[in-house]
Amino acid sequence: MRDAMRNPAAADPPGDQAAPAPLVSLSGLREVVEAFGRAQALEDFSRSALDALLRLPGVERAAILLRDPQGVMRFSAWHHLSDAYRNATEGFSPWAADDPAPQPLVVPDVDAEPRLAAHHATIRAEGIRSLAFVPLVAANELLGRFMLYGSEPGTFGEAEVMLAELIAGYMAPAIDRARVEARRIALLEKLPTGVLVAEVPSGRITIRNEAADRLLGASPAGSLTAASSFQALHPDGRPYMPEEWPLARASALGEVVVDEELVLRRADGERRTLLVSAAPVHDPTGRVMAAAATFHDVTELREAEAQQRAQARVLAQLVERTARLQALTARLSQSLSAAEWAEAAVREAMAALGAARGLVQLVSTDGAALETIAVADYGEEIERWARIPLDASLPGPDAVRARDLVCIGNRAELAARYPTVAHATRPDTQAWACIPLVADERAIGGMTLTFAEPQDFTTDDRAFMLAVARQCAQALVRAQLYEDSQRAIRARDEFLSIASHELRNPVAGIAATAQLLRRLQQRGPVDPTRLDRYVGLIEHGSKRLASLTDDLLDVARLQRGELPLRLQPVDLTALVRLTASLQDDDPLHDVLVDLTLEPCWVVADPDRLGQIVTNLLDNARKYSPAGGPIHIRLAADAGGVTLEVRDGGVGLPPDETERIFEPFGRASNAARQNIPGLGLGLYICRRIAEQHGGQLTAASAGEGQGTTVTLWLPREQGATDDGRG
Amino acid sequence: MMAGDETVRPRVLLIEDDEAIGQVLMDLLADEGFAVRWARHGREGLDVLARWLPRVILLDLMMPVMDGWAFRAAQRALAGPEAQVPVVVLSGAHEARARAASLDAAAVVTKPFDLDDLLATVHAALAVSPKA
Repeated sequence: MRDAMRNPAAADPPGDQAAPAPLVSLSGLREVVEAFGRAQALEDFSRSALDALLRLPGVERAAILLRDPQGVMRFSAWHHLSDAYRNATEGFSPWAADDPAPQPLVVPDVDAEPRLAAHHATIRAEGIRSLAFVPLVAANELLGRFMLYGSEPGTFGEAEVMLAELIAGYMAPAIDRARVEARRIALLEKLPTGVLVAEVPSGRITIRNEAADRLLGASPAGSLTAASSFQALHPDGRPYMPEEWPLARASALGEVVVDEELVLRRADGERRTLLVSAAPVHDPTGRVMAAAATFHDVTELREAEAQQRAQARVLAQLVERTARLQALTARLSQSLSAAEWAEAAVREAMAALGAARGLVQLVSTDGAALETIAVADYGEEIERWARIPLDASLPGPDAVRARDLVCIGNRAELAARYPTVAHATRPDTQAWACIPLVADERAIGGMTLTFAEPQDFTTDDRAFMLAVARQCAQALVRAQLYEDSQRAIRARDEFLSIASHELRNPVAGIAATAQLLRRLQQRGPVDPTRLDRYVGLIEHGSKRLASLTDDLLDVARLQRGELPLRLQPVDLTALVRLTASLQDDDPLHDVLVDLTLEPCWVVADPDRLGQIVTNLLDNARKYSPAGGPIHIRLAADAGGVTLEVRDGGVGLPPDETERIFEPFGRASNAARQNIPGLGLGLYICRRIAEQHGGQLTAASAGEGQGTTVTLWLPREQGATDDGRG
Repeated sequence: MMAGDETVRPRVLLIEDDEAIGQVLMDLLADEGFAVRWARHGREGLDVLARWLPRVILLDLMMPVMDGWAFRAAQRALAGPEAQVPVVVLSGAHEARARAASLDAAAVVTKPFDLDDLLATVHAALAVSPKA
C-alpha cells in the first residue's frame, strides 16, 4: 500500500523474520486479533491495540484514551508522548459525551483546526502537525478513542482511519466486556456470599472474593483443598476428604452441588456452618474448563434454628409432662389403693422421664425403714431392697431424710458418692433418681427411678420429678387414710360380731341358768349341789360380763384421755407371783416363773399394773389352747425393768405384731379359730404402759410358733430395789 | 313326758364351747328325758358322731378348733345316716340367722334363748328326724 511505503518501520530490510508483519497484511491483522484473544485485562487490550496502531503506515506516535467512570477521557496507553502533552490534552474530546454515533475525525493540519485552538501551542511543542480521532464505540456507548499523531500535515488518509476503525471495532466490544467483567468482579467482591472459581484441570483459583476470604480465613492457598488454616467436617463430625469438597467434585466430576452443609473448624477453634454450592463451567465443546463454588455462612441461622428446636422440644416435653400430671391428678379421684396409686405414679414418671425401672417405698410405721409398696419392671433382685433402714447411706434414704432429690447421672458418679453400693447395682443401670415423697412437710417415702442410659438431669426434669412426687405423696396419704378408714370400718364390723358373741354368751348362760333354777324350784326343793353349781355359773358369767364391761369402759375412758393413775411403789415380783397363784387351777398350762429380782420396785398404779399382768397371763393361756408351758421372766436394765410373758401357742402372722394393739384389733389367726376376745385387752394394756412411760410390744416367730409379749417400765426416781417394803 | 315315752331315750348331740350354756343344756335335756353328749367344738362333735348317732344336733357357730360352719359341711359330707341328722343352730353371733342361712338348719335359736322355746324346737326337729 502507498501509505505503508511511507512508514519508516516498513523500510526495514525484507526477510527480517523478527520484524512484525505490517498490519496491512493478512498475517498482521491475524496477529492483532490473536493478541486480543489472549488479552484478559483492560491493560492487555490497550497494549495490543497500541501495538496494532503503531504498525499503521506513517504512524509514529499513537495513544489510547478510555473514559473513566466519570466520563472523562484518560490516557490508557501511548507511544512517544510527553507527560506535559498528556496532562494538557487529557479530558479533551471532539465529540459530545452523549453523541450516539461519533464519527472519526481527521485533522490534516493542526494549525488550521479551530477546535484545537486552545491546544495549538502544546501540540506544536510536541511536534505534532496532523491528528486522527477514532472513536471506540460499543453498544451505542462511547468508550474511548484512538489517537494517531503525524509529524507532518496530512499524514493520515482515509485508509489509515479505516484500519484504525477496524482495530477499534475489535477492541471496543472487548473493552466493553472487560468493563462489564470488572464490574462483575467488583460486585462479586462485595457479595456477602463467598465465591471461589477454580481453573480445570490446574485447580488454580482465579476468583476468590472477600467473603470467601472471610469465611475460609485469609488463606493464601492456591486451591481450597490445600488450605490448612481450618478443618472441614461433615455435620456428623466426619472430616471431608480432599476429593469430597464440592468444588473438587464439580471440577473433577462435573457434579452440581446444591446447599451442602459443611462445618469449618478454624485453627482458633471457632466453628462455622456453611452451605456450599458448586457447579462446573463448560467450554463450548462441553469440557469442564472451570468450577465455581459459593459459600454461605449459616452459623447464626443454624444456631437460631437449634435454639428454636430446643425450645420446641422443651415445650413439647412440658406439654406431655403436664398431661401426665393431669392424668395423675384425675386418678386422685379414683379410689385406688395406696399400692395401686404408687404404681400408677411411678409408671407415669418413668414414661415421662424415659426411665427403665422404678419403685415406690414408704416410711414404715415405726419410722425406721423404707418399705417397698410398688415396683415397676424390676426383676426378683429388687426383693433385697424390700426394706431399707432409713439411716442407711443409700440414695433412697438420703433423699427421704434430706427431703431433697438425689440424682446420679452415671456410674462414675455413683462410685464416687456411694462407693459401697456401686458393685451391688444392676450393670444395665446407668443413672438413678431418688425423689422424696413429701406431704404436709413430712417425708412419707420415696420414689426411685433408674435409667438404662447416663442422664443429664435438667432443671425441668428435676421440677417434673418434684411435681410428680408431690402428687404421689398427696395421693398416697389419701389412699392410706382411705385404707385406714376401711380398716376401721372392718374392725368395727368385726367388733360388732365379736362383741355380740362375747356379750351374748355370758348373758345367755346366766339367763338359761336362772330359767333352769326356776323350773327346778317349781318342781320342789332343788338339790343343793346343783344349786351350788348353778350359782357358781351365774357368778362366773356375771364376772365375765363385768370384765367385758370394764374393758369397754376403759376403752371409752382412754379414748377420751381419762385414765387416772394412782402412782405408788409397787413390787412387780410380788405382783406377778400373786397373779400367777390366783390362776393356778389351770391343768393345761404350766406357769414357769423366773423372778430373780426380789423385790423389784417400780412406781405404778398397782391396780392397772395388775390388770396388765393378768391380761398377759390370760392371753398366754387363751392363745395356747392346746396347753404347754408359759414362761414369765423379769429382768432389769439401767433404765427400767422388763417383764416377758412367753407362750408356745398360735403365735402371730408376721405383719400383725402391731395390729393386736389397735382397738378391736385381733390377730387374724386367733379370730379365724374363734378364740374368744374383744380385741381390747392389749390395746388397753399398751395405753396403760405408755401412761407409765413404758412400752408394751409383741413378737412371734410366726403362726403356731408362740408369742412373747414384753412390758418395759422405767424405774422412777426413788423407787429402787432396796426401797420401801 | 313325750320323750320319756320312748323305750330308747332320743339322743341329742350338743356342740357348744360355752361352759355355762353347756352345763345348763346338759341338765335340762337330761331332765327332759334325752340322752345327751356334749362336744366342746366341731372336731369333738365329729368324733362323737363317728360312734354315737343322735336324732338331733344342737350346734353353736363360733367355736375354737372347728366352728359350726365347718362342722356342718363335714357332717353333710359323711356317707352314712349321720349326714341326715337335723341340726338346730344355737348362736349369739351378730346377725346369726343370716349367717346360718347357708347351713340348711332345721331351726335357728338365737342367744339368749328361752328354755321352753328351745325344748319345743328340739321336739320339732325330732319330728322331722329320719328315725321319727
